[in-house]
This record gives sequence, structure tokens and C-alpha cells, in this order.
Amino acid sequence: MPKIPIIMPQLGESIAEATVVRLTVNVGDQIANDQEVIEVETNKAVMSVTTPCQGLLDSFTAEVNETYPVGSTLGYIEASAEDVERLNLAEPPLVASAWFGPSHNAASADQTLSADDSLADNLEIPIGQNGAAYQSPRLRARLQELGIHPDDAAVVPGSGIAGRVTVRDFEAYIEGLNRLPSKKASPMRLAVADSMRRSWTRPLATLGVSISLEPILAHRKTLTPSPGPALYLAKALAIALSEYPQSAARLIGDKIVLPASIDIGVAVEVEDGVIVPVFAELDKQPLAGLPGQYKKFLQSAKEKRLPEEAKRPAIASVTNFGTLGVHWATPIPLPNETLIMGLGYGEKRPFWDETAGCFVPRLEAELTISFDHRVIDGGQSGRLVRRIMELLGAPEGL
Amino acid sequence: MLDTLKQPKRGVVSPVSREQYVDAFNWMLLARTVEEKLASLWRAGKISGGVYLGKGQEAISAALGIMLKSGDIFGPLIRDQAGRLAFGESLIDVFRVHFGSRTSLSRGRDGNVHRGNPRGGYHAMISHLGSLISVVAGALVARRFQGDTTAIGATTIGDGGTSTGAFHEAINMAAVEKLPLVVVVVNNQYAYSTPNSRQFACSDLVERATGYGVEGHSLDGTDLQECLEVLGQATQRARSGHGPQMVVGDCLRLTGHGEHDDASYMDKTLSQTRLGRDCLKIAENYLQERHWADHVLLEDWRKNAKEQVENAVADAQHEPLADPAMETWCPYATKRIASAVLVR
Amino acid sequence: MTITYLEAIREAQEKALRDDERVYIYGQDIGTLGGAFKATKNLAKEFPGRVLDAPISEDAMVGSAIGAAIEGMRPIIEMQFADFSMVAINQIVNQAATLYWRTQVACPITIRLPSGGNPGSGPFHSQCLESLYSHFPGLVVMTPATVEDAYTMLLEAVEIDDPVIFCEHKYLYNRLKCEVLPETGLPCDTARIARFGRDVTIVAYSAMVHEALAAADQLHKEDIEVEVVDLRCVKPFDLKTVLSSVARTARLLCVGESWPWGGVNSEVIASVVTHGFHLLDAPPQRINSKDTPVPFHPSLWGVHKPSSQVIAAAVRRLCDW
Repeated sequence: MPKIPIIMPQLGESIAEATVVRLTVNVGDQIANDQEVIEVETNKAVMSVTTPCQGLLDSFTAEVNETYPVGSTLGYIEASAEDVERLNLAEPPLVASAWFGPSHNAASADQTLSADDSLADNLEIPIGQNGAAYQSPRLRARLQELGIHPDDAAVVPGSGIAGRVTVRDFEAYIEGLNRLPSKKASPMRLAVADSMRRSWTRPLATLGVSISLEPILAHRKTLTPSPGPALYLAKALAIALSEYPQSAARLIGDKIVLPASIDIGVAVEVEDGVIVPVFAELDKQPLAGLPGQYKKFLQSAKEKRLPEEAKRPAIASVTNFGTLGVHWATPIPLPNETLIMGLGYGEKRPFWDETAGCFVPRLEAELTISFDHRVIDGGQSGRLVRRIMELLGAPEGL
Repeated sequence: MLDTLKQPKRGVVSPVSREQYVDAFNWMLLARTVEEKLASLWRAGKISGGVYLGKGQEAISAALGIMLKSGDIFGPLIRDQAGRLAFGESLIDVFRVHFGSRTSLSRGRDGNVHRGNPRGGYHAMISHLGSLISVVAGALVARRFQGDTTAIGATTIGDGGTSTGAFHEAINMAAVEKLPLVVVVVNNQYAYSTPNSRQFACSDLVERATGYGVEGHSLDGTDLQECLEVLGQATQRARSGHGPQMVVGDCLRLTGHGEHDDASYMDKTLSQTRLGRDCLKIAENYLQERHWADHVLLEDWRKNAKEQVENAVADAQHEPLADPAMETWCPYATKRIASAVLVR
Repeated sequence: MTITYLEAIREAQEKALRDDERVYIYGQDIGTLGGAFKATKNLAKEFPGRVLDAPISEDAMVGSAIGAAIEGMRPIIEMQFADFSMVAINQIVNQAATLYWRTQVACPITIRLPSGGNPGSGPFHSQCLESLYSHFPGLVVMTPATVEDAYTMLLEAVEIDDPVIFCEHKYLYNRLKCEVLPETGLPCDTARIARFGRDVTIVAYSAMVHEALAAADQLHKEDIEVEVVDLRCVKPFDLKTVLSSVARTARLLCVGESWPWGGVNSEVIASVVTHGFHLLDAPPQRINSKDTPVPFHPSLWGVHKPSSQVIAAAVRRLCDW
């Protein structure tokens, strides 16, 4: 015969428990419908508990003078199968404590989450709201407070979702750094750093060729003051770009932005950084006039006070890393430039002379071009370099 | 208090027939049986929340219920099981709502006495006393707009409820609009634990009728015969265009405020007075005195009531209970608004 | 011919009475007098027995409307001032708002709340209670900002099967005008972009839409382009339109004339932050009336509520962030 639990009822709105005062029947007694079997006491009153149906009192699990929460089983009654079926007592009894059960709360929490998701589906929302790239407003505020660029937080190993850097990750990193010696960076260093960081967001490629410096060296002797190799290169680049301006174009969104005029920068090393004075419309300026202008720029660059006309944004730059004794480098174009050309250290090398049928000494250097590979490809940059080599081979045409 | 009970003031009292008396008595008996079962189920932990019973008030409630006709409007309060049944509430609905069945009109969203079928003229009370009176009055306003000249509305309130502003506003408004509204004030001597002496200072609540400009009636709530006479007259007056009727019935609450309340604060001597009589016993005696029923027939009626109740309880326990997963969690009736809210 | 916001409310009621015999209007002094603000001017004469003076019993007014609605009527209740609706708050939030949930029987009542202040109205004739009523489940709370909306939304309120709190702004009554009333309007649960702009989204409703637009005019001269979203209905509100606007501007300012605690502004901001945190480029801001009762003297009153100057200043700060 099925055993049906006798339950501690909810004996008032704010009642959570009650104390058993007296068992008013004995185990083994035949219990009638609606018969009271246990007397219980709350802080409000003494009341009686009944059974869900008639039957034989099987057992009391509750003890007198003990307190039980609402919904507790106080004993069992043996009911007839017929009563169990008729009153649907096989189902677990409705107990007040079920209201506070975890299953209910979990169910409603799930519903909330799924409702939120469906909203997101209906709206155009930028992707990537969490994960490695995501920085919380709090982390960003902290970075700003410390003067750290958000991109520089990438050096911090992240423990968040998809490697996201949490504020705790960041603070641990900073704490480690604080134990090392440090000094304040100069404004020049910070400016160069910012420029290089912004530039590095692009896929940059570099290629290089060897060129003969002999024609340049021969030609510069004909001019007073005589221009340096960097100015020859700058002038040749200007002419080449005036012929192929799309090589210096910039890719912004879905647009190719072409240069308005051929303004070329020439990198100059200064204390704790680099300054790049700009020769405006260099394709139209005679080579002979450049050394004087360059001297002026050089002087003001050392004083970190460039004239206005030299401060306009260039479309491309040249850098003569050969002056440092360096043969080869992969310089980085400025953020608003698509390419930079470099000139390496000039030295005598054996060169096979076809007509003489022997090796002859020749002054050579490496010419490099570093470019934004999104805008130009290897072929286009190769053609540009060939054209520049051609121009530098006949400097009288510059 | 009983000494001040007044007899109906005007009109000819139509005699109560055996048929009417027996009808009312059987609703009283069924209500008492239902409520005893509710108390037992509550004590077995089968009902969440409270159980509020109308023991001692069945005569007034049943008499009011049978005076209402199909098409009338009824706004019962917590101790109106007899009136609810007489007005047409099905037994299974009583238990569905108490158990919190999904099949009940309130779908487990509200329980116990907060049940009704408002479109059927059977209003579902909220807990704020007095606030249902103007709702029933408003239903009568609607009927007037719709050209219904026969329907009346009835609602009940206790001695405590007469102290609310809502009670005052509603009766005054109904009087201004001359609505066919019967307001039955059941003075059962206690509002929860507060006695009349701490509730109002007039000698009899029926005196208030004069102030509102409505007709007042008094009755002894322990006497079904008188309940039928007076409520028959009051509903008749309302139906025949005499405006709101205020009926004050005296009795004693023969139970706690709810089943959680042992009423230990009540004045024990009251139960020895005429007020403390059990209206069901008085009615049984009356039936036998008038030879309208003998003890065999009475026993038959009792058995019948018990059987009906047991069957309804068994049936209701087979119905699915409220389930958070099945709940819409949306309070709006307008489909467009509901769907806009549910997207969130 | 021009029509004011107030006249639009009268016109809407006239149309509702004419087109739908279930409609009647109940309120204090709305009959012979035509209402304290004349929103029911001549309607009692035009529709005998359907525009009824009520005793000073806000509780009973709303309670009776609920009963009538259950019986199939579409009552409109005029509160003389929004402030007085508080006397009926039990009927509104406990009876009307819960009825459908409890019984599956709809409660199509419209409660008109002449809201907001005019100079000199003081603490008890100036309140904006949309935030209060929005708190309670089951109510639709409308806050029209234009003459056109006052007209079409009031008609929609009468049609809707749920209890509608219709917050009509007294300051707009005779200050807003339009040429011709529209046949139809946007559904109430759709917000309106009152002005397009790229820099900042201002979410406002009712009279504050006009303060926001005035601020936007000023800011335009400073090269700040403000987008103004008129919520139209604050409960429920059109989160989708708000989020779409924030997705464009990444900056949000909410402006409402009710008090700050637990209000419409807080709800809009909470929803945007919950669903669109990643859309934001600055912390959302809000401007409410000051957290004191509404002051009587015009000089105090003018500062108590949000003004276009205060809104413009907040937008500038938001842009600097």
C-alpha cells in the first residue's frame, strides 16, 4: 500500500516553521478524512495538521518539541491505491519550500538570458564585444591614467575570456614593472613611438636592390653646394611618383586616396628621435636648389623647430641609413605615408665589367623600399624601384 | 448590539417560501462543507497561502446570492463562499484556485478568495477593502449606457471596510448616480482583531445610509428567514429604481480571520449572545419546526454536499498546477504591446 | 487654421465619442464647464449623458471606470491634475493594472493626467508621474510631445485593451500648434527620431523633447550634431530605436521631467547599458527635475526642471569625455 507523506503546512503568511506540540493519534490508528493528527505551535497560534487522505497511520518522523520548516515530512499515512489515484497523491506534494528551491530561480535566470540574446539578434551590433581585443572601460580608464596607449596593453598576458586582459592582469603587470629602474620618456620619444605604433597597424613589406653610386658621385661634383645621396634619391623618388602617383596612394576604408602634390620627406636623426622635414612639390624643384634648402632644414631640425613649409605631411620619405654604416634595413613609413625608401652604406665592391671582361671596383649601396602591401604589390614597387634606378643612373636628368 | 437591530423600514415583506428557504439552506450547507474541506486541505499542506472562511456568515451570503439573477453583478468579499456558490460558481473552481491550477481563471497568479469571472458579472476582489464597491457601481454605469434596466449589482463589505475612503467615495458616487446597487455590510464584530469599538463611533452603521441619501436596512445575520426577507426587499427596491440600498447585517465571525488565526483575542461572552448563534444550526431547526425537512432529509443533504465536495477536490487535484515555464510573464492584454514586451 | 495640443486632445475625445458608442468621459468639472483646462469644451452638450461630472472622488472615478470597462465600455477618466491621480493610485495599480493578469479580462480604460508645471503652479499642480506609473506592471504610459501625437495617441489609448495612463503636458497645451491633425500616427510602442545627428543621442519625451530640440539648435552652431529620440510612450518603451540611435552616436543623454529615483531615465540607461554596453563611447548621462517637490515661484520652478541650457551643457561635457 502506498505511503503518503504528512506535510508541515504553511500556517500563516510569514510562518516558516512550527513546533510539534502533541501527536493526537497513535501509529497504527485508522485515520478518517480531514482528521487532525498532530498539534503544532507557531508564534501566532496552536493549530492542527491533517493528512492528505484517509488511511492507516504508518509512522511519525517528527518528534514532539522539535521544530520543523514548512514543507517538512512529519510522518506517513498508508493510503489505499484507490485514494491515491482518486486524489492524485502519487505526484510529489505541493510544499511551500518548493518556492524557494534553486530550480525555479535557475529557470527564470535562463529565460532572462535567452530573451537578451534574441534582442541582440534583431539589431545590428558591432561584433567583438568580448574577447582579446576588448578592453573594459575600467581598464581603459586605468591605461589613460598611466598614460599607456591601449595597444600597448597587448604585452600583458590576459586571463579573461579569449585572453582578454582584465584589470587584475594589468595591475599585476604594472606591479612587476614598478620593481625595475625607469625614467620619464622624452616628448620626442613619445611622438616617434606614437607614430610608429600607428604605422605598424599595416602590413609592411620591404624589398631591396644594389645600385651604383658612381653616376651620383660624378654628378654631384658639378654642383656647388653639392647635394648628398639622400637628396638625389628624394628627387628621383619625386619624379618617379609624379609618373606613378598611385604608388603613393593611401587606402582609407574602401577608397584609394591619391596625393595632391609630390611632397617628399627626408629623415634626419636628432637627439632621442627622428625628424622628417618635407620638400614640397619636389618633382618641380631643381636639384641644384636642394642642398641649400636641406642645410636650412637640417639646422632647424636639430633645434627641433622646422619651418612651416617643411611640416606639411609628406606622401613618401627617404632615409639614408647608410650614414650609420648600415647596409640594409626595413624602415617603417610614417602613418600617413604608403612608402619609404632607404639607402645603405656605400662601399667599393667588385663588379663584373662585361666590356672589359674583368671585375672592376665600383661604389655601390643597397636601395630599399618599404611599403604598405595593402596599397601596392611587389610588381608595382619593383617597377617603381627600376624607374628610380634608371633616374639615379643618369643624374643629369634630375 | 442586537438590541439596536432595526426591522426593515418600508415596503411589504414578501413571505419566504419553502423552496427559497431550502435553496438558500443548501447553499449554506455546501459552503460550510467546502470551507471545512479547505481548512483540512490547508492543514495537510495542500494549499499555499491563506484560507479565509465565512463560518457564521453563510445565511447573509446565501440569501444575497439567491436574490441575484442571471445578468446581475456580484462583487463578493472574503466570507462569501455561500453567496458565490448561489450566484453560480462551480465547486471545482473553488479548489482549482486554492490549489493554484493552471486551468483556473487566475492560472495560479492569484489564489483563495481572489477569484471570479468578471465578464460573467462575478467580480474578483483585491485585498484593498472598499475598492470593489466602485467597480461594481461602474459595471452598473455600463449597463445603463447599454440600456439594461433590469440588472442590479450587489457587493459585500465588513465592519472594518466601512472605515475606508473607498467605501465612502463609492457609496456617495453610486447615490449621486442613483445606481441599482446593494451594498451589504456584514458586521461580524471584528476586523481581524479590531472590535467595533475601535472601528467606528456611530451607534449603528445603518445610520450612515441617511448621510449618503440611500435606503438603509438592518437584519439579524444569524437568521436565514430574516436575511431572505430583508435582502429580498433590498434587492427588489434596487431593481425597481430606488437607487442604492445599504443593508447592515449583524452576526459573529465563528472562526479566526483566516485559518492561521486562532482568534484568541475575541470576547468569549459574545458567543453566548444571540449574535453568537450558528446560522446553519438555526436554519436546520427552523426547517424542522416548519416541517420543511426532517433529520433524514437533512442527513441526505449533508451527504450530498460532502460527496460533491470530495469529488471536486479529487478532480481538482488531477489538474496541472501553475508552472513558471508555461507562464507568459506578460501583464498586457493588447497583443501588439504584449509582443513588444516579450521580445525583451 | 491652427490646432493646439489642448484642442487636439479635445478633438480626439470628440472623435472617440462620435465613432465609438462604448466611450464615455468621467471627471471633475468636465461637463458644463468643459474641464478645468477646457479639454472637454462643449462635449457634454454635443454628447448628452456621455460626458459626466464626477464627485471629488478619484478612487471611485477609476473604480467605476474599471467596472464599466469589464462590461465592455471604453471609459476616459480626466484627472483634473495628474497630482490628484494619487488619490486613486490603489484602483489604478492594484485593480486596473492587475485585472488582466488575474482574470484574463482586459481593462481598457484611459486615464488622462494633465501633467507638468506652468510657472506658479506649485508642488501639487505640477507633478510628472510617468515614472511612478511605469513602475507598475500592466499599465501603458503614454507621454505625447507633439500636437499630432496628442491626437493620434489618445485615440490609440482608447483602442488599446490595457489601462493607459495618458500624460498630457500642461505646458504644451496652448504653446504647441499644428496646421492639420493627421489621420494616423506611429503605433505608441514606436519611438520617433525628432532630429537626426551624429554626435550624441538625447532620449526625451513629452515637453522635454522641445527642450532637447532647443539645445540641439544651440549645439548645432557649435558644430555638435544631436540626435533627439522622442520616446512617445515610456512604458513599454522602444528600446530598439534607442539602441539604433546609440549605435550611431555612441553617446547617450536621457532627459525627463519626473524625479530621478527609479525613473524612466534610469530604466532607459539601464537597458542601454545592459544591451548596448559595447555601443557606448562615454558614460550615459541623465537629467531629471531636482529631487525636491516642485517649487511655486517661477524663478525656482524654471531651474527645478531640466532646461535647454542645462541639456546643452551636459551634451558638451559628454562630447568632451
